Amino acid sequence: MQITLHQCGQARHLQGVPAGLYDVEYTDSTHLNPTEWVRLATLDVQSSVIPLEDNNTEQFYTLTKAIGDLPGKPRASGAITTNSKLDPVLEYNSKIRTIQDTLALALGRVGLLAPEVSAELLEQLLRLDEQKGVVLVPDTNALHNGAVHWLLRVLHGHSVWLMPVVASMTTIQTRDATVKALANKFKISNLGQALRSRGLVNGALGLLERNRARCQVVEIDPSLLRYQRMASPSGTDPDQGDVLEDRLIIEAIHGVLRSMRSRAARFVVTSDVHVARILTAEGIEVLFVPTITLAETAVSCLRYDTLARGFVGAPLRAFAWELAHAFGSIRLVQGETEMAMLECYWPGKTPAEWASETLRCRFAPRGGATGGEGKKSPENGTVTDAAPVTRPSAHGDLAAGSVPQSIVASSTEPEPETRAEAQAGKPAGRQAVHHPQIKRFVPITTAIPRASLPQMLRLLGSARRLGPSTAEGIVGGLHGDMITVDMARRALEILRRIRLLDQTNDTYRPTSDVELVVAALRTSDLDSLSSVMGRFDPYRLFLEALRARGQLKRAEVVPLIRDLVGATATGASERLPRFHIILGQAWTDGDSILDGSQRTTDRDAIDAFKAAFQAVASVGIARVLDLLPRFCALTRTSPWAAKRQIERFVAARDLPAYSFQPAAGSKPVTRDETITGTLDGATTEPVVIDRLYLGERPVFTVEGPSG
Amino acid sequence: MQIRVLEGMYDPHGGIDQDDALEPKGREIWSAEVEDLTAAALHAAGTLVDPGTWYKLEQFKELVNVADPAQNANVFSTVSTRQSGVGRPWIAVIEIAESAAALMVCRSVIEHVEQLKTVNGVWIRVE
Repeated sequence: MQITLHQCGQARHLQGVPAGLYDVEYTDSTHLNPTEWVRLATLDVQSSVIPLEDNNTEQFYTLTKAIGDLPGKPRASGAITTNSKLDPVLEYNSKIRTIQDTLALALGRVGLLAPEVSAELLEQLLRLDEQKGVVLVPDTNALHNGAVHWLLRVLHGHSVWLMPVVASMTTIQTRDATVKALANKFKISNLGQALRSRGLVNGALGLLERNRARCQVVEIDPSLLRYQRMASPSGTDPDQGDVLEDRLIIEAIHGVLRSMRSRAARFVVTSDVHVARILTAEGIEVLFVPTITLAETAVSCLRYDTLARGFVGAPLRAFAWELAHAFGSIRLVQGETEMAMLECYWPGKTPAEWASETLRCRFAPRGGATGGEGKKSPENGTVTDAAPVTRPSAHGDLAAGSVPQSIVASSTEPEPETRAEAQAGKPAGRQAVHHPQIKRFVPITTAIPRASLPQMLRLLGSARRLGPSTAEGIVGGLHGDMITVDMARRALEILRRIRLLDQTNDTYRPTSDVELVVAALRTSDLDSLSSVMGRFDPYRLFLEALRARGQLKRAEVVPLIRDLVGATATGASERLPRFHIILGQAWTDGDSILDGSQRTTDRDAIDAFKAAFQAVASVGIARVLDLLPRFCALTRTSPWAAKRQIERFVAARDLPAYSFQPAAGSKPVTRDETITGTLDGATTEPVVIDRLYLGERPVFTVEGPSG
Repeated sequence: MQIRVLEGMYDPHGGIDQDDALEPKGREIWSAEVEDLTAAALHAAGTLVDPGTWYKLEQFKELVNVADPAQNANVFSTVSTRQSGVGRPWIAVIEIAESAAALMVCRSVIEHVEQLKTVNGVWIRVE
């Protein structure tokens, strides 16, 4: 089949694959016969923990470089020479290094590897934090070696313009011609040119295509292009440096920067020390990004990038896509079983297919093999780590005997069986689970949404604006929210359950109750919002439990929620009380979450105010910072509701024995946040607890009767 | 999980932060809100890092280094990662052991801070 990465994700290929070790192999008609596959690395893919149908998550994996032997591996000659053309062993090792470099650059492009950041580069990037716009002029190498890919990740909060020079495009054309000329030659001597050229062509064009909205190729004087060498399969190695070519690029960069009338920061991106030195000497600011290298240690599919302030990495399918574009054809093999094969060249591939990064793929059916040449299916005697995963029905109900492995592996399950027992042929169904490392599974159930409450409300706002729409449409109607359709679907499901949306097939329609929410937000009536939210069982049950107990330690939250609603993910359970907090029904004090949902009568509240004042005042003066939490604890009111009530008393002079004198303010002390804004722009704001307000003026201390 | 890094000095008479904790005096040199993770995951990984407490970089590093990512590796979470794509970016949600993810974050922060040219002491707080 010929599919894009997006279609691969929709079809859930390369998701929920059996756990275990895989070999990643490649073949390339420029230097290998079609039946010759060379190993690049081993993948250790972890079990899929969350049922595929329940959440569109990707499996965690690590990769370890393990380059296999190439055809015609020479024996050590014993001769001493430094010329790789004369010594077959040196020549062979040079080919292995090329494969390793191609792999490292592909991993860099996809985000699994990052360059070693020097202190100078770090300082430059931190200074860039103050800039809103950045113009990057990459040299040819930086377009494909991961440097620009990495910078775009790190600078994702900035407006970045990419301005490659046309000379780079000429080089890409030249290299493309090289790859075409070498196709179907099956000569191992072509390896170096073929891999380096393909990496450059597909890596650079992929980058430009993905960033077409912010990319502009800059012209130079066409007469200068005569300095560039043309492709010559028999000529000199195009990777060898050339002073004239470097000068051409440098002159082009000068031209670009001269012609720009912009206050945005402008940098040339290069990994070439020589070019960086020359450009610096000529007064041009350079971001020197060292070339990405691949160590012997395992590479995780995720890493935390402090400059990007987020996790960076790639799911299995994105990794496979990048590798196929770098090496021509790749496959994932488990034991003797081919699980997936992806190739990027076939006769008649159209420009649109190149632009959409369409690949020709073959995937094993779940629990099977692709049927690729020379590889066995499991039925032929190969035992894989996990039996086929039977997928739940479209409604999410699980048929008997089709329990996803993650749920079977929950704490309700007796001690897991050993892998040996599994291979001995235990009965189907629960036998599918053989992951002794997973003793406790925390599935993110549909019971608690991953989306935050403000995000849910913004989704509701989008649905209200659009009228009847699909989940995709509603997500598309958001402005600037980073939310997947799957995450949104679960939020929409909650909105359906609380009767703010109706659902027919794939279409959601807002109900008339949405206007209650709009009105509640307009008047900051969080209690009304909480009433609507109370239609959602986990919210209501937790609120009832909190009311019964008065307060909870944070550590008690997750077990309590699991008691109330069944198995839930730790993160989701920990997030649930946040719904109550931002709706003003609960509040936090150190390690505790306290009930704040009571609304006392004015008379009781005035009595509580007096008691709180007596408890915290010293010589007749109390800080609001001390008084307010004490009042909240006595009345079981949240600081949001308590402030509103006390401010009303002050305005109505219901506390005549107390003096509230405005004073100059300092940095506010806040605790917790509450929801605010409109349905389309729902957000949270902190609750300031060190002051009351008389109109716009802050009051920090209260004077009253002493003793 | 939120991480804040300050360069400065600890002043026992200094101002309090929003959680009523004493805060070192100095400038913030890095901070981030790590969505999808809670500070409790660090405890699960066996570190003795207390959420809400300011640690000197060296002490924080020591506490993180003794942690074992394999500990509690059976408790999973998911983290989101932005992907560039043809047409428009998309988000991949990847499963990961919670403790491993939390340690990954802390180690990256330590590495990042160590690369910065700081003059005064560096303080780190996870919450």
